[in-house]
Amino acid sequence: MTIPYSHHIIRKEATTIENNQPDWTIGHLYEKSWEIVKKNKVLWIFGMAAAWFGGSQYNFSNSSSDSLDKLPKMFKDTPSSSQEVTQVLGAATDSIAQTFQAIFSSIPAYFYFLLGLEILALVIFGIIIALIGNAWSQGSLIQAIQAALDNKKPTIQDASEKAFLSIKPLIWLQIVPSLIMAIALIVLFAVLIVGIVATSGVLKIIFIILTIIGVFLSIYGVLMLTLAQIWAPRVAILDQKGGKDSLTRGYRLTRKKFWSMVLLGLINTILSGIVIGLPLIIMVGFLLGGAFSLNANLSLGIFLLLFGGLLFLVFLLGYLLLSGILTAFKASIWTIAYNSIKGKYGSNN
Amino acid sequence: MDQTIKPAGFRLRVLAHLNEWMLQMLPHTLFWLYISNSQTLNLFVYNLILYLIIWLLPSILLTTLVYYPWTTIHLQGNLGKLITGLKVTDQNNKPLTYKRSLFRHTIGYAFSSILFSLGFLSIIKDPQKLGWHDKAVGSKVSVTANRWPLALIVLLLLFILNGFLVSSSFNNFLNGPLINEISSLMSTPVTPEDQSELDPILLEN
Repeated sequence: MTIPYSHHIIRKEATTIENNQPDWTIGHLYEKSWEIVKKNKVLWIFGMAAAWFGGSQYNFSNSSSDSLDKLPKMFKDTPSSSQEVTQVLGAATDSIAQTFQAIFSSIPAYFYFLLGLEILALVIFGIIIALIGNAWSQGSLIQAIQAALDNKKPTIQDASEKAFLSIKPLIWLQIVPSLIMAIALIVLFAVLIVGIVATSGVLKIIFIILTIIGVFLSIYGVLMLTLAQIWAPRVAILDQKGGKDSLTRGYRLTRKKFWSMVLLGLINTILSGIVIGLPLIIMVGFLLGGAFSLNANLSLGIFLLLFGGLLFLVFLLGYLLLSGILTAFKASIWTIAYNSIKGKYGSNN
Repeated sequence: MDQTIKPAGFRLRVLAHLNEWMLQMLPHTLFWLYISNSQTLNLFVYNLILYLIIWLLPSILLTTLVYYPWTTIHLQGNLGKLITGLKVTDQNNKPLTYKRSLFRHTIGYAFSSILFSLGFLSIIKDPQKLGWHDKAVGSKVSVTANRWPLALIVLLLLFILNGFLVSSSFNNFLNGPLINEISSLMSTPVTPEDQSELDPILLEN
């Protein structure tokens, strides 16, 4: 009979306390995580779902799709499309624009009101579905990982069924702490800025010092919240706790394991950079090499461009699978780490 | 689990899906025909926005929030499935709850469509003919009656009807006055005088 992994963990915990050894070693976490991810393809599926639904997470957590977050910024940085079109097409566009402006202005105003209302309803609905999808995929992934760690065969049915129980606390964790933190920071800095502007002399200097302290405190707060948000979902999913309770326990664990977590997170970031970045660098190398060698050697240039293009196509097709495996791998690392400190450092109270 | 209930295979489910899709397309193609009959550009834009407000946007919400869950709970399947003789239940052959039905049609389908719809294709190989979305919500699709010939005929009729409506819309658009107005707009600048001629047409509507 095989002994579940969590039993090993408990035994290992006892040894750890006796020997005063670290709770985890990165080598062991990586080795064990790779072993279970390689063996259980269902983790890839949930990893892909977590990467698909959870575009807002980063390397210190589960998902590897942080690059997707940059897309809106990229669009924000580009000039307004209508502005550019007008500049390119010149006066001819002006008359078309004027005609359409006249047409749209003759549409009754309540049409736009209804249209706006319906689009708003769709956006809200989409956000709610995305939040539930994110919570469910995260819950399913962690449940499947835990099943694999307990030497059981993870299945979509079991993992999903258990994940349904944690959807509410996970949504709470996604929204409430970040919202409270954002509101607190806005209020804090609004008061401090008003203080700096409205006062003079010694009081102004005090406000400036308070602002500097506030900046450091807010950096610390955001970092602690980010790290606590790694443990909190695991407490909610694996220990079936509510959102607030999970966050409190996550915070306690973070205080005790702060530097170990930062180190593990940094190594995860480097790993993600290598896994996603290396193929990109190779592709860009081929494409640039092809473009530069076109003049000197046409056939070599075309060959390199075609090969680079082919690699790019393969990368595009395989990106989701790759990000799914990476997400599952990183989620496994943190789940194994959580198992090794679960119940310690007052996280049970 | 009741062994006499036959799980629906991939082909039957595709047939049901196509029937449902064609049924849902019908109001859209009718609207497109109506829009394509617009005599002026003003009227065309007016009708287009009307289509968005009256049908396109509400139908996305209503289909997801009301139609799919309601039919799955009360009729055990949407119209496409009923025509094909299929029903959706939980693993104990009981109707799905509202939450599970909604989940199945939103997140469940999105989950199955990941990586070239591998979750839908998995129905082919799965011994119980379950897709990832079925496994995720604990649902199954079973055959209630052998109605695939009827489903095929309905699909063909719906395909012809939708095809006719789409081609008529294109014909109306390409042979009507609208295309001339658009091409003249592209070639000559519109003056405020032209606009003053266009406005009364819209006001009449």
